[in-house]
Amino acid sequence: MMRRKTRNHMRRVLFAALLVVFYAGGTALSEPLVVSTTTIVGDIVRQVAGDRAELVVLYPPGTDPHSFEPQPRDARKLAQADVVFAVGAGLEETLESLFAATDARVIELAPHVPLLRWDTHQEHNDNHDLHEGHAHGVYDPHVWLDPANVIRWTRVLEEELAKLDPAGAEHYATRAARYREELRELDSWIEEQLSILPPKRRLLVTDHAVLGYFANRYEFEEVGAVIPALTTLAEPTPKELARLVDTVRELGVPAVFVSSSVNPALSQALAREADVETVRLYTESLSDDTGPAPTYIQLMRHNVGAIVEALEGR
Amino acid sequence: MIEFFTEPFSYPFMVRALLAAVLASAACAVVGTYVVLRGMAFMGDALAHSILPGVAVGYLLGRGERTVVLWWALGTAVASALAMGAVARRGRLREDTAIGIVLAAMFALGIALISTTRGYAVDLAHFLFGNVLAVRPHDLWVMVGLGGAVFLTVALLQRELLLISFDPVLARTLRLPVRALHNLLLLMVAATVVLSLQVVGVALTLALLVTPPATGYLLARRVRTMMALGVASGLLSAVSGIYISYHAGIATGPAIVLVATALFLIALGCSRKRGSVLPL
Amino acid sequence: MRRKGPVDHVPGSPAVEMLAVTVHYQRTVALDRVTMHLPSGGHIAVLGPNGAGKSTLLKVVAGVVSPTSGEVRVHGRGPQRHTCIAYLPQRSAVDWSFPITVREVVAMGRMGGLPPWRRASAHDRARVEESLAQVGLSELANRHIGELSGGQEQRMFLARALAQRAQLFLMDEPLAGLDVGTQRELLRLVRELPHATVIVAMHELGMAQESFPQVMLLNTGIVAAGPPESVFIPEYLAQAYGRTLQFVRSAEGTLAVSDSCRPPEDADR
Repeated sequence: MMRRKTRNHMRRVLFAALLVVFYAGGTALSEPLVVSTTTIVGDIVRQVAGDRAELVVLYPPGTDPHSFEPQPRDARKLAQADVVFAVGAGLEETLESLFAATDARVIELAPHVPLLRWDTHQEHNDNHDLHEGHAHGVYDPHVWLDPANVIRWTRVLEEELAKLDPAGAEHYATRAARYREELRELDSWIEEQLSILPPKRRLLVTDHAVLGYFANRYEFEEVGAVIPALTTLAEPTPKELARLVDTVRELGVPAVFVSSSVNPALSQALAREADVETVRLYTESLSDDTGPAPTYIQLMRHNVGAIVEALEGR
Repeated sequence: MIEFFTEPFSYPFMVRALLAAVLASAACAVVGTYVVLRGMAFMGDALAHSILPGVAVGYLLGRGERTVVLWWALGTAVASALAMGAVARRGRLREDTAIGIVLAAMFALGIALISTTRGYAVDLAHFLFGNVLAVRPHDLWVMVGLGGAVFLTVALLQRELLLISFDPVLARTLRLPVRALHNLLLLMVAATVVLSLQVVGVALTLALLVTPPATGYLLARRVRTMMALGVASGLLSAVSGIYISYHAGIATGPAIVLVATALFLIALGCSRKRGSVLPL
Repeated sequence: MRRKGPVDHVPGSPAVEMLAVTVHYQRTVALDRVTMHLPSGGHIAVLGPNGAGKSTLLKVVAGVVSPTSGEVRVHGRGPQRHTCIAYLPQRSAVDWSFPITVREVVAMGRMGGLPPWRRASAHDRARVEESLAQVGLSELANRHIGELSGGQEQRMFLARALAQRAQLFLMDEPLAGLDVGTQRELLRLVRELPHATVIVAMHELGMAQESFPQVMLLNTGIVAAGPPESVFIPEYLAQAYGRTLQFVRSAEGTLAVSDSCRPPEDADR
């Protein structure tokens, strides 16, 4: 009797030991390496994944995603990743060749939401005929500035993460659902905040064409952009800049909204010229942890607050 | 029709762009006269490229604040100018080899420094090709100061500068401070490089320094005339370049340089000096 | 930029004294222990093949090149302080397409004493006109220097030296490329320079013999110096010119010597 008990006990100890070894090793193996491109994507991924995945964000806070210059260590991260979440639709233009070269498994999030073409939501702007060199009907990638799109993203994320890590499927689903709640709450809050602005005040002038989806959802008009392009890697001609000055003056727009990750020199020139203020928004990147926009939800709250303050005054 | 000429300048930012371009062109033409006569074009280009590390450091330290960048540019230009003077005297290498090495090294250092910020493409483009639409009133005052210093120095020292350009041995037998004058000339080139930074950028400063004076050289028999024609050509290029840039929608810096080149080609066609090799 | 005033001359000292002057350019020896004394008012021609150091000698005396060892004195003092020394360059060293007129070049001679902010005075301008007249270039004063003939170019540099009120004239191969008549004319002008000590580096042995009371044969070191008859003898000429020399005896027994740039072996081809 004793011997059997001892044997069983030993077997259990051994089994437990093996379990520990395999579990430890297995966790290291089964915890997926998830790479996100922008800090915003990274935050949303973190909200869904929790701590069940090893999360890496490629772009440091404050980076302009249009002009990010990848280095060899970025290529390495892409190659090692189990999955890469990117915005896509042409946002991370400088990474595209690297995606191909490293054979990374890239999930583009933007194509999972209804995309807007750039010139469709510029139709009221008489800058229209000055878009030389821009292919008409190019998709605007800045989809995350409409919380409804981020809600759609969470569904994609929960699905993809579950594919990668089936054991965590329920974990991801729960987290995603909870985050969707927060996002709906955010959306209502935004509607409420913006309600004090009458239509004639809902005019947006930005440093480049970044607020298209926000404007579309919350019924703003995009009057124009200092760099009349979806990317920051372009220059306005002197005439385009002059026209924008005229437009701003004519319509009485009180502010130019500038992305935190972009050199503001030209926007400041416009602001000085048209005698308006420049207001800093966090549009393509979170701030660092000490700033006002360390998560997506706080980013949206900050931006909406700044927009309301800038546009309600005059 | 008249609107064609007046329209751009109903905007203060265009007026500032024009003033900056005019100042830079005039100063470059004046100093460039000596650069062309003394065959210093390569050195002038090297000086322009070598300020990039200073610009980069200023850019990183000042987080893109332009005043900081301008002062760092000036400091680096001055240091490079004096270093080049010293290296050329001391080295065992041929002068153009030494200059070429320094040019490339400084340029690479500058780009390396700028690339430590992860999204540098736009700002680098501005340093290389100019960003004249963003000139602020403060920038303009700095430019007026630099330009004024250059004009004053040349006005006072034109005979001495002429002498060391034509016959340096005579200058030495007359016991003129040849080395100091040469360094002074390099410092003036440094000043014009900083002046041109916002208008045409590092890459095209050479054109402003060399092309208008070369145009003057083809048409003049005396240095004063050469300088006057060079300045006239530079001013015409600046104004025309701004108009063309505005109405045709092309970048301002290159537009100015292309006009200057066109003027040079016209002079080349008319000149009887065609046979002589330009001392470039 | 305060310039020190011109230094005064030590009375009784020779115009030019070189004491064992040696000049090294990196690895080559340009001048080897050259010693000479030239009294005030003396005229001497320095001859030798290309690369013999003639230009270097002139530049050392002018104070433009420093000797590696040895001493140079002009009127008893080092050359660097004097502003009475005129170095007339080789024609090939000048940029004749430089946009400048004859008068402007001559006027440069007046710049030894002017601080930068003072304009040229009436006195300066008069001196320039005088100098131009002295060499017979008054009518060409407004011409571009590229329009001058060889002889006129040399006269322009002479005028510049006169404007400078030079007392020591150092001429670097002034007869190169000129026809014989022009060469004689130029040397006549040189002979007639008042209060001038003159050193001329040249190639033309015949002209040197005709026009100079003193000559020197230089080939890095001094081969011989003295009156032409005692210096231009076959032994010294061979030493100076080596294989670049050819001797021809004519019916009258005179020795015609040609200084060719090609070594004699080429004549066999």
